[in-house]
Amino acid sequence: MRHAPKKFTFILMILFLSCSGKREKGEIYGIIGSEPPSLDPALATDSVSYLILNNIMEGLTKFDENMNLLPGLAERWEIVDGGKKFIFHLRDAKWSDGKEITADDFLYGWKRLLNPQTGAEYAYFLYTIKGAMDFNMGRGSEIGVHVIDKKTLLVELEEPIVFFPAMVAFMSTYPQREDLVEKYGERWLYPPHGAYSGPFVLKRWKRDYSVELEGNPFYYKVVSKKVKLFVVSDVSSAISLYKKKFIDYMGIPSFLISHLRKGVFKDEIFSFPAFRGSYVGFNTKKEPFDSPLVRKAFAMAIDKEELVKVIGSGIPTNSWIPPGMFGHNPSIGLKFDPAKAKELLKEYGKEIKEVSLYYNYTPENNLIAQNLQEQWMRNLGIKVKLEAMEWKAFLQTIKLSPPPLYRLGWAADYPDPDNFMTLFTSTSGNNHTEWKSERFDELVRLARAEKNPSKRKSLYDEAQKILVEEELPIISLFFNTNNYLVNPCLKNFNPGALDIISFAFINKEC
Amino acid sequence: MRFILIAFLSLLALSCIFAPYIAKKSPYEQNISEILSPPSPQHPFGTDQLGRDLFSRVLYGGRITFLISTLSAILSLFLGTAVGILSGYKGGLVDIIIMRILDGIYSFPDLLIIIILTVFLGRKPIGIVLSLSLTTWVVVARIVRGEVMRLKSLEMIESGIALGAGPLRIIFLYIIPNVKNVLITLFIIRIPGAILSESVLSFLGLGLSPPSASWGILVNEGWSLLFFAPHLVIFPSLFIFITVFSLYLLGKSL
Amino acid sequence: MLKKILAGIITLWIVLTLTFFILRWIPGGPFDAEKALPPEVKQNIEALYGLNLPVHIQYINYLKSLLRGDLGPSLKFRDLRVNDIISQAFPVSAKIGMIAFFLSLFLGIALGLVEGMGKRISKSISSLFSVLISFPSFGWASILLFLLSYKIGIFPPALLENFSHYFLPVLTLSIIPTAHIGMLVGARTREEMEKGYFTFHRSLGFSEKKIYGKFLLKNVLSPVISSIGPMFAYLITGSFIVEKIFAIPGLGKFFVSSVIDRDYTTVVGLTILFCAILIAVNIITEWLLRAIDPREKK
Repeated sequence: MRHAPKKFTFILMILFLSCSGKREKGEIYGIIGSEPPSLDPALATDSVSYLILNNIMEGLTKFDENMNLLPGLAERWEIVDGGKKFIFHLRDAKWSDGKEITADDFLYGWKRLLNPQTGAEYAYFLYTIKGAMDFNMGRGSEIGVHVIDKKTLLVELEEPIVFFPAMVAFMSTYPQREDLVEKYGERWLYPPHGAYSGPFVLKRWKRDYSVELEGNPFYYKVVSKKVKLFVVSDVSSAISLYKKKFIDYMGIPSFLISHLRKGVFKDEIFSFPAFRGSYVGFNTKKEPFDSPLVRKAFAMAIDKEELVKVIGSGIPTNSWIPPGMFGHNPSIGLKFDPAKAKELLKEYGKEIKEVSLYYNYTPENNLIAQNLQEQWMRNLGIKVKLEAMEWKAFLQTIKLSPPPLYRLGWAADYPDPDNFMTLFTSTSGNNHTEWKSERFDELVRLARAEKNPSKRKSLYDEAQKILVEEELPIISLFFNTNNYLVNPCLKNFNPGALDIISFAFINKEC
Repeated sequence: MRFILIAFLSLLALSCIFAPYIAKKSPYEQNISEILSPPSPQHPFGTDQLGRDLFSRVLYGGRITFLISTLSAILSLFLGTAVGILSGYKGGLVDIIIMRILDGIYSFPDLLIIIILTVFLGRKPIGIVLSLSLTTWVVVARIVRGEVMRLKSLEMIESGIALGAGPLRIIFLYIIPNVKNVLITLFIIRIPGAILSESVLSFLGLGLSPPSASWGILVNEGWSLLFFAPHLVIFPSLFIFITVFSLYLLGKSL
Repeated sequence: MLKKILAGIITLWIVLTLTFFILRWIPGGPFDAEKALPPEVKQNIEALYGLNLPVHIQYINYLKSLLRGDLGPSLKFRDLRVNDIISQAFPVSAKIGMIAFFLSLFLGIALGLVEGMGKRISKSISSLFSVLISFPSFGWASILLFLLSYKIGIFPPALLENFSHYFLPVLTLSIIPTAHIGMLVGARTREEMEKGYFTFHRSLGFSEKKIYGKFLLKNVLSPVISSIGPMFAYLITGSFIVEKIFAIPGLGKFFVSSVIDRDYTTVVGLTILFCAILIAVNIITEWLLRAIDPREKK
């Protein structure tokens, strides 16, 4: 029914692989670790899709490399009703085919995201909007988004959320073109018929091979450069391409950092803290982790500095809001204290037979698990067995019947602590700890609407204390750092904590 | 020549079995200060990402590799022989049906079977052994069937039947002794095949749960550090190569 | 012949049915994600793809679309249909696979013949074969990469930008098949040589070439042809290892990732493709065998 745009041309190109164009001066070549499953903003869910969409599209707002919120397609906005309503004023901007970007494009895009027939996975991202959840479930036909005029958008939320403007930088909220979607369905953004609202256009997409970007002539701050991203999943292959100077940058897994720091590329490493963390979760209804004493003992028996050394890079932590994010407080949390840990176990009294740590099999998780196993043995004398599961099987296990002890990660979609703290509220579908705290829920809810920064911080401080000092349904292990090898010729390379590479700012100068 | 090979392989197998006496260091002991050190007198093969001695990891790993590959070879042979004899001896409709089923199993992509078994059985040795056997017994069955059919037409069998021997007697007294050589060769060749397949499995991330390690898993763990700590890949790969090579030579000479 | 095709189709149908049901049975579904979906959202998506219907209804619907030649939508790549994935990735794998196939055939037969004829170099060739099969393909890939791309930088390490990018993946793919074909050819050649007609006809004055062409090649090629079918099928459907290491957009990568992602339709579709190729290859092999040597009973 819907046939691939230029299917024949793709086949021809790949079959004959004639010169894919000589590399131009200043053209940036990069690597993506996997093929983006979809470049429709309503359907995209993974970080590779986000990377590309962030460059070819723009939303109401956007972030700079220091996570400062900047105007995007909205040049300013007003907070009304204590954060329950927002009015966004759009700037004069055009799509890459010359058509004006209007408030209708946003209304259409958000409705499409929430339309149950679209089957969008990130539909829940906009559940904060009035009527959105009902709309997504097929009840009700209107959502709290109104087009006041071509350049003015009014948004009504279910409850006040002070950081809502930070949320509308995310890819699921990008504007969409009704005329193109009607004609091309999920492929409306694809070359050659796609229309883009960002600094780049999608020039060519060879599936599972490469993505080519070119400057968008209608963007309000025109850039004229080209970018080509190649799909390379094997790290060693990527490194050899970097060594040959074929590609200008690549992401490095943590365990290679210490080696690269000793080698010829030591000055080409770019590291920065990310809004991503790793934690050990407990099922607080299963023995022996139904006792806070045991949970605290397990937490205090881990030297997170050692763990981070094993992994290669990262920021050890005892608290749950990452550095760089509002509310970060490194003084909160239980410190490494094996003696105290043993005391707590003695206080618990009962003997702890073998426990199993469940996780999904990846090279990094293997390192984490093996080191945790070793530390718990060394510092507590408890034997922990490792159960490395296959990815989807692990997800199903966690969802249906969370094991007593497991390892999970979490990454922020937008730079607000709510993103991290909501995770452990009682209504969160991602809370596998079976732990509830009315007080914790209340604190998070209040913080969402609290405008005063210092009041907000103390709300999060109190919530974090409950989470990582008193109750410990989880052990926060470390926050990741993102590491890149970057060709010195590339200037202004700084993806920031959300790991968003904005090619508009990066220049290749040699 | 044959004896040299057998002696060498026995030496290898024995040193793996007696790993605790040969390798002074524990393969599990993590030593953060010695992460990824190159070969040295204290660590003849160097250390891995958790500071564990690679020499002992390779020796202990050999136990697992030998265990898994031998078990899967045995299972593969057993299954294949049983079905092959059944199909070849009975002939007729039974043979046709069995051959069709074998064709079906053979047409199944190996990777699919392996991934499915890993998901179901978890990363335990039993899962790996089953994966390796289930994808190879069909070939054994076909070869055995061919041999049985060839033997069936020999005079010896016909006279045995004329003397009143039942099918089971014929199978055990006449057929099996005569296919013995083929079976032994198949067995000797299946083991290195299993070792290689197991290393490919591990390379795909479908191997055993840590911290146990076979040679294949050791190669996989070291793979991304190829440029920086090649000793992690070189030593286990060398062992794989030498073992497989010797086994193949042995199989050929039989 | 017709009987063979019918049998093949039945085998194909059994395999696809088994795959279809087993996939839905193993734990984990296509829309299980680390950021868990609210149940209603998940329901919406599953309704879109008919995954909320009872399994046997899904199966019947699938068979219906199969008869139309439609392998269904991919559950992971939400804008692609399985037919698209095949039409984009299969030519890539097939091209590399076919080059590797013919290279292996050529080298394997050539080296095998020499080995079987008992010349002085035969022992070395025999050892070479044993060495080649004693190492897994990713081992050879890294050795070739190290020697040819790293040390002597003549070949690029990955991707398929131009002609030179084909060398390393093709070479890597050819190593083990060459050894297998070579060993087979060598063994058969040795058998034929021992039959004695070679020296007999030679003494009668016929040239080596004529003897080779008439007897040797024919007797040697038969077993080769009967065993290279599956090899061909595996090569053209893509090797996951080679495609991963050399960043090639082929079918092998798609197959493995679709199982891991529980992309049901893609897995079944690619399995059907693989199976169909295998069956077709078997049929062609039998036809070829009969054409070459009508008296050869199978």
